[in-house]
This record gives sequence, C-alpha cells and structure tokens, in this order.
Amino acid sequence: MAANPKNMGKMLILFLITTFLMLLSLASLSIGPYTQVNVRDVIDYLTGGDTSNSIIRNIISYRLIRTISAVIVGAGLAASGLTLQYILRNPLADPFLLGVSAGAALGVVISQLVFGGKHLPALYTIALASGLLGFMMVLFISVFIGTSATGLIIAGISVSYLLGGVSMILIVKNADKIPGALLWLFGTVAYTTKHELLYSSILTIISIIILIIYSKKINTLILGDDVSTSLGVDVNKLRIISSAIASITAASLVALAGPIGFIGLAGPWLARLLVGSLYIKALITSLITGSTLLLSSDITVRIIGGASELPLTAITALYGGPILFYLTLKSMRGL
Amino acid sequence: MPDRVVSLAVTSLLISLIALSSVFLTFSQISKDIASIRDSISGLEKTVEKTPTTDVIDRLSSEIEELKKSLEKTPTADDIANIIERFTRLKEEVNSISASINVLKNEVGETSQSITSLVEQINSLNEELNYVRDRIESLESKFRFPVTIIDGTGDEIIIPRKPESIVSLAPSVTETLYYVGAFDKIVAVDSFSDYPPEIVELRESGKVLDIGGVYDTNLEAIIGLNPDLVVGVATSPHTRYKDVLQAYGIPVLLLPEENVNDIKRSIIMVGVATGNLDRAIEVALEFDSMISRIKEAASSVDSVKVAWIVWVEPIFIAGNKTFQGDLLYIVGGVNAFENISGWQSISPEALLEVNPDIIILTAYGVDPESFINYLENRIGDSAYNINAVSNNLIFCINGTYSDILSRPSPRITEGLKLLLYILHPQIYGFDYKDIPKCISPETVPEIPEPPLPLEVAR
Repeated sequence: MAANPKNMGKMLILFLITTFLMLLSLASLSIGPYTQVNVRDVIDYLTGGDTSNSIIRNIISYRLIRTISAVIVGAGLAASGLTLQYILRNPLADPFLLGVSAGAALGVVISQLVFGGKHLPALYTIALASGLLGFMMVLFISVFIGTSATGLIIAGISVSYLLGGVSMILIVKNADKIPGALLWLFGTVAYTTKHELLYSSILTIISIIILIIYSKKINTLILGDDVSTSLGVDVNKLRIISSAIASITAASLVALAGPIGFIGLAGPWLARLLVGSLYIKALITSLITGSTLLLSSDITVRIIGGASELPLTAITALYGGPILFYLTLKSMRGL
Repeated sequence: MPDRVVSLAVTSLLISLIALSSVFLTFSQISKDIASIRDSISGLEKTVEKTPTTDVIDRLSSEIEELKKSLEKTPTADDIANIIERFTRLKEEVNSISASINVLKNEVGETSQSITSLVEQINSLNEELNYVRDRIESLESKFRFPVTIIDGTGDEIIIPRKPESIVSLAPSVTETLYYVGAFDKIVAVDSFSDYPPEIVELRESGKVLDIGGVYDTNLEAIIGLNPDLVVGVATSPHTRYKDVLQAYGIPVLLLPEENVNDIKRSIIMVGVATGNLDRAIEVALEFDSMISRIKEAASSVDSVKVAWIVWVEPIFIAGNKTFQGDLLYIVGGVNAFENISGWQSISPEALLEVNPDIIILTAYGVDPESFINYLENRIGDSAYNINAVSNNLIFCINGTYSDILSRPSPRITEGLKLLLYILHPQIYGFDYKDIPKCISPETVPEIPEPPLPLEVAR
C-alpha cells in the first residue's frame, strides 16, 4: 500500500501541510501587533534556554497559549465537523451550523451565572450537556422538515438563533453579574487562560483518540446504513457515540474560545480535497488543515486588528462563506 | 417677668421655628431639638443637661469618638471611604445644628445661658471634627508599598511598589487617575478615553499606547509594556483580562462603578494603589461635600417625577439600580420607572401610564421635537396626556455633558449640578422655560453652582 504512488502523493501533501503548520506556529510566536520577537528568542524559549528579558518571555508565553488554543480549536472543530458530515452523510454538517456551538454557548452563560466563571468543572459539564442538547434539538426539528442537506442547515440555523437569543437575554439581563460573557461570545483565542486550555485540550485529545479507534466503522456510514449493517456495524449505537463525541469536542472548544464559525466546514472540505474521503485519512488531515486555517486566521487578526482584537469569525467567514455557498450549490444539484 | 415679654419671645420663636422646620425637612430630629431648645429658653431655670439637645450632642460626640477609634487601626481603602462618609455626615449635622442655634441666637440675644453653653459644646464638636479631618488627611503615612487592596470584585490585589507605569482600561478610570494625580504615570489607555483632553493628543501621537476598546482590548500590548498597575472596571469584561494578565505578575485593580458611592470607594482605592492617598482623600472629601450640598439644595424644593430615556426606537429607560437612577435620587428626582430594574425597553404606552413630569433624553442625537414626533406616530394625541409632553418639559443632554452623565468618575459632580439645574431651576431663580431644550456645552457653557447649605436655609 505504501508503494502506491497515489498514497505517496497524499503522504507528501500531509507532510507538507504539517511542516507548514509548524512554521506557522513559529511565526505565530514571533508576530504581534506591537512587538516582533526574534525567531532565535522563540527557539531559545521553547528549548528552555535563557531568553534575553522577562518581558519577551511573557510575550512569547502569552502567544504560546494563544497559538496552542488556535491549534486545538482548529483541529477539534474540524474533526467534529468531519465526523458530523459522515454521520449525517451531509457535507454541510458543522458544529457551528448544527446548534452545538449555540447550545454550548448558552451552557457557558448559564454556568457563569450559577457557578461564576471560575468553576471550570461546572462550566465544562454544563457546556457539554447543552451543546449536546442543541444538536439534539436540531435533529428533532429536522425530523419534521426533512434531513436533506439544506433541511438540516435550516433546522440548525433556527435552533442557533433561538439558543443565541436566550444567551443574549441572559447576558443583557445580568450584565452586572457576568460582565465577561458578551466578550467571550465574540469568539477569539486572545483571552484564553492556561487552565481552560488544559481542560479543552484533554477533552479534545481524548475525543480524537476515540474517533480514531472508531474510524473504520465511521467510514462505513457513508456507504449507507444497509452496507454498514451488513458489515457488522451497530449503526444506531455508532451514530449516538460518534455524534456525542463530535458534540462534546465542539462544546469544550466553545467553552474555551467562544463560538467560532466555518472551521468545522472549511477544515474537512480542504482535507477531503487534499487526501480524499477515507475517514481516517480525512480525519488526520482535517486536524492539520483546521489548525492551519484557524491559526492563520488568528495571525491575520493580529496583523490587521492593530490595537483591537477582532472576532475570529470575521476572518473565517471570509473563506468559510464561499465554501458554504459552493457546498450548498453542489449538494442542491445532487452532485 | 412681664407676660408680654415672654409671649412676644415665645411668638417670635414660634414663627422662626415654623420657618426653620419647613426648611429642615430631612432633619426632623433636629427640628425636635429646636422645639426642646424653645422649651429650655422659655424656662431658663431648667438645666441644659436635661434637654434632648444634649442627647443629640452626646450622640454626635460619641460618634466622633468612634470615628477617631476607627482611625487608630490601619484602615482598608473601603474603611477610608466609609470614614469619609461618616465624617461628612457628622460635619453636616453639626453645621446644621450650629446654623439653627445661630438663628435662635439672633432671635433671643446673646444673654441666654443655655444658648451660650450650646454654642460652646458645638464649638468643641467642631474642634473634634477638625482634629478628625487632620487625622483622615494624614492617613497616607499608614500605607507603605507593598499595599494590599480589596478591589471591586472582592479580590485581594497586592501592588508591590509605587506604580511608575499605569494602564487605564476605561474612560472613567482615566478620569479617576487624573483626579487623584496619577495621570502622568499613564503609559497606555483605551481608545475612548477623552478626558482630560490631553489624553487624546497623547494617544494619537503614540506617546501613550492605544490598547483598544472594551470588548477588544489588546492584552499582548499590555504584557509588552509590563506596567506596574492596570486599572479597569469590575462590572465589565475587564474581569476576563484580569485572569489573563495576572498570570504575568501584572497587578490588575478593578474599580466598583455601580453607583455614586462606588465612585468615592474607587477614588480611595486608586489613591492607595498609586501612592497618592493624600490627594485622593482631598478629592473624596470635596466630592462628598459637593454631593451633600446638592442633596440639600434638592431637598429644599418639591421632587419631580422623571423618566430617563437612554435610547429611542425602542425606548430604553434607566430604571432602578442603574447609575442614572442613583443620580436622579440625589438630585431630588423620583424615577418614573422605579419598579423596573436595570436598563429596559418599554412601550410608549408605559410612558403614558407612569406619566413623568420631566423626560430626560441621553439617546445620542434624539432631540425633544423628534421624540414628540415619535410618540405621536406611535400613540397619537394621547402623547399629550403625558405631563412632560404637554408641559414641554423634555430635555436632551448632548456632547460632553452626556459623557459626564454616563461615566462613573469624580467628574459626576458636574453632571449632578447639571441635573439639579434642569430639574429644579427655581433654586437658581429660573423657570423651566429659561432652560435650553438641548443641553450641551454650546447651549449651557457654564453649569451653575448649587447654593451653599446656609443660603438654602435662608
């Protein structure tokens, strides 16, 4: 199999974009709106050497948390999007469009209101539960309006607006109690803390490992339920487990960085374009493409934002929007 | 003793007392004391010790003793704000008693023994208060860096050394830093700070770094400056920034800003944090005495029912528990939407229902005329059933004045003076029709000063 030239090409592509992501990460540590840090200082810092001064160290450390956040969020959202696409056999599936993000966002607002923002176990539990709830609401509605590609999207958008509206009302009514909530709703990796990053990373990594374990079974879903069943797969059980995993991943990342759109759509699309539709390959590649897209979006934000931090969706929408349009058009034509 | 002289004295006393008690509505206790003074004067044989006035003086002097005691231990920033508040109140009470005694003295002459003894006691209270004031003003010596402050979020903030570089995250904070005398230490500021006016120039020339707005503050820029202190606001996303910045050893002080009393707490907190407590105490004392001067002037006239509209289409009003609601209360306005908490949208019909005497508009750019048009379009002629509409008592506040009224900073005393002038022009000998419909520095270049308490008494 390794000798297959087509596979060699795909391996090369994967190698190239991984290298690109590494270089991008280094750039991410050295580029900023005010202070440009020498790459040598960055490498010194990463290898534990003595960096010239403490301010530079602090800046690199801040950018490191920000960079890792962007990579984890990008990878996780792309993995979640890809998995939902396989489960629903729908190229438009994306946690942001399917109510998971809005549900998780509402969960974060509620847990901040009840437990305060600093109680992370409560925050993550409620965010994960309500992210799942948002997704289930979308599935429930789509039973009535049809589970076609566009039907799901319409169900997703209506649930997202509904839950988003509830979040907004809670935030505005309790502006004095949860002053940070509106900020977080903008979706950015500029204000993540180490502790939240740790929680989200652990949840995301565990989820991805589970998805890799189930990858062969998930791959059969795209062939249709009958084929999957004939291959000995318990389709319903697999659907429930894998959609729960996909929702949990997305929800834990929303808890970290707020709702960020289009990565769950653009990452998998790019990955499948590069390596094809075999789930395991597309999954691994999605992790890299999702991270690369989100990290480059964050670097763009830093360069063009100047003094102010822009919401990440402002940039991801620039390429995500056209991709969504293209995919919708494609699925409507039944291609 | 001839009956006529006694009855004349009593009659003249009664007349003066009626006049006085009407003025000192809020000081009912003191009115009672004055009644007792009348008793003590009509029967000069009675000993002064037995009169309730002595009780009041005893209470005041024991309160002053307590105040002295609380000054002995090292107070926290909030203790100091509290001490200043108690001091201002005591000072006010003593002043008003001594003002009423002065009036009595003029009526009955110097000869009365009980009055002389009262005057002596009041003088000694005043001496005590002056001593307390000196003690308050010398509090700075009790604070040495590193200082610990409980900030507006209830967190304990440790500031290791006297800050030489400060970052301000909000316009109100920049103003507080300026009043407290730490303006020259500011190295970075948010995009919206515009007072004192120099800050705009400093920010645009790059001498002071621009770190963005409320919801998009650039934390990396702050980390790069490594400032000795960052000051923000407790009820804002600054709480989130605090979590991030503290990991880099940058102290972040978040000020309480929910009501007028919080402004005084903030002044003292910033004073302690920046090592400018002397100046902060001076500002806080001045602030408190101006507030009580405004309150007193407002209490001399009838209160008015006010609807404060902060946004039109839909109408958003400032209800109870808002900064604006607190301002209204101080200047003798009854909030027409007292039953609503926070800033809420209401229908034009709700306005009809509560029927305010005066409407204040701080809805950027909306003038009274277009607001009446808006109401007419929505509820027709019944708009004229609203007192404020039929009497044409709708005022819009624009420009800098609108900023002043929305920022919880020491500059709010200017805003309160302006509100007092709008709601009660009669205090200044004006009528409502003398007040411009749209109030801005162009139409009202100088905000009139409220009368001094003794002027009100007369």
